Amino acid sequence: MVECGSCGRIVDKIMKKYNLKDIALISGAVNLDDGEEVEKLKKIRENSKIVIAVGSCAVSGGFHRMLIGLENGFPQRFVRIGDVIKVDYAIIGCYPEEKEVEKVVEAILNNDEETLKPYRVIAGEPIIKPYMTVDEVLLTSNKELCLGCDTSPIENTYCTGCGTCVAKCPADALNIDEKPTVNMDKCVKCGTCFFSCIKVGVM
Amino acid sequence: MNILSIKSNYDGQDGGFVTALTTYCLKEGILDAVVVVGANNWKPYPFIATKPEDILKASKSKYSISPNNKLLEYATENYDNVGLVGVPCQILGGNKFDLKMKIGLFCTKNFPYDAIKNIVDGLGIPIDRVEKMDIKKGKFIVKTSEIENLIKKKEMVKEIPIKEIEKFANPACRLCCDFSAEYADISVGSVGSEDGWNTVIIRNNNCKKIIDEMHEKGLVEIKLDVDVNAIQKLENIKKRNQEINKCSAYYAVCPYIF
Repeated sequence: MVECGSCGRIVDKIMKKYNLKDIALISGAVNLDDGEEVEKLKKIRENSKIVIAVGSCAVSGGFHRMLIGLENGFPQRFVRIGDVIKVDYAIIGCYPEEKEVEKVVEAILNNDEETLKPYRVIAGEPIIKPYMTVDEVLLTSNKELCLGCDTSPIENTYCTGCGTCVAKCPADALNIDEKPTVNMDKCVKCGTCFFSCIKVGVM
Repeated sequence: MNILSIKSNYDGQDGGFVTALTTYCLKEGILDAVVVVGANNWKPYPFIATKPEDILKASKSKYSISPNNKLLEYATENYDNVGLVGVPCQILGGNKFDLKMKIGLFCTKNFPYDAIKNIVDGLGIPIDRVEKMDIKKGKFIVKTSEIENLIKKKEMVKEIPIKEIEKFANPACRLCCDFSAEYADISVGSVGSEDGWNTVIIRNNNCKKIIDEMHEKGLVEIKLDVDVNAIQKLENIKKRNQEINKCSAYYAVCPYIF
């Protein structure tokens, strides 16, 4: 799909390493106005049992969602993979660590539900109930990932000020004294801060 | 998991065990770098200690928010064996990095720096004269000293019940359900031991070996009598937060953050 290539490299490596047949790893955002690309995606969904979105562009659209391209005079819209097909597991990161992707693939091969839970939740399950158990829901389930694209992604009330998000930010957009502040000019809307926050509790 | 009472000869918060352990690890090369917290006028700042002398700047507890984990990316990229000293929430974040040793500290609550400053001012002590802060037995204790004459110093101790200053704590601490840093390799605190001793919970075998080595070399004294009930009591207070969280209006909207 449409991406910088960092996630693509990881996907190629892991596909070779594990020789995956019915598990598909997809990276990059989808160009909705490119018929071939959308068809290809749908074919992948038909031919594989499990689809994993690798990297922020695939999971949330990332900064592609802010872009409108032009090709031959026609506007191009970019969306996340989840808008076109159903995604089973989503790995956020810009780019995600290879180890983490390996961890998820191995967990699928070993049926390790405990490890997979957060990744399944991020992928967005259709949950529309007023009360749900803690492990089953996220700010974002089955809606668009809220990455704070319009306002600051950080909810100060729940922030302990530990600094994990600052270290994980790939764009160096976060500064922290006691609570983090976001430099929106640098932010690439990848959601890594959100996903690495201990209050989201991905372990 | 086993629980010990340990005292070292370092001048620390209680038994100085964290100071002793990190110094020893840096000396022996078990760790190349440790992320610790120093303080300027009790305003904490995290830094990476690579030499045993650096650790002395980081002794004693500070009761304000410190973003330790922001240094972990740099530390793990530049050093092989990285350690982290932090309160339970920082240890939880530390799980996302490749760390050799995570040293957790017992924690009931944390305060923004301005709040601590106001509390200490309210007790009538200028913050730069404070020599030690402590939270023990439901009281927030501030120690300072006045110079009486050239030779003698007079100690001054001011106390305030925690109940009175609870409301100034970091709001996120009300959601916290982890008192003794469950995810750490080794947890250190003072609850359950005598004055001047540390309670140490060892959660993996590597750390046990290191402590046995330290004991053989005479760096620490070890006792086995720890009041486990006192620890359990505080654990339960924190665990009760889980139930309280479920009554919150936010829980219905977004349970995942609890």
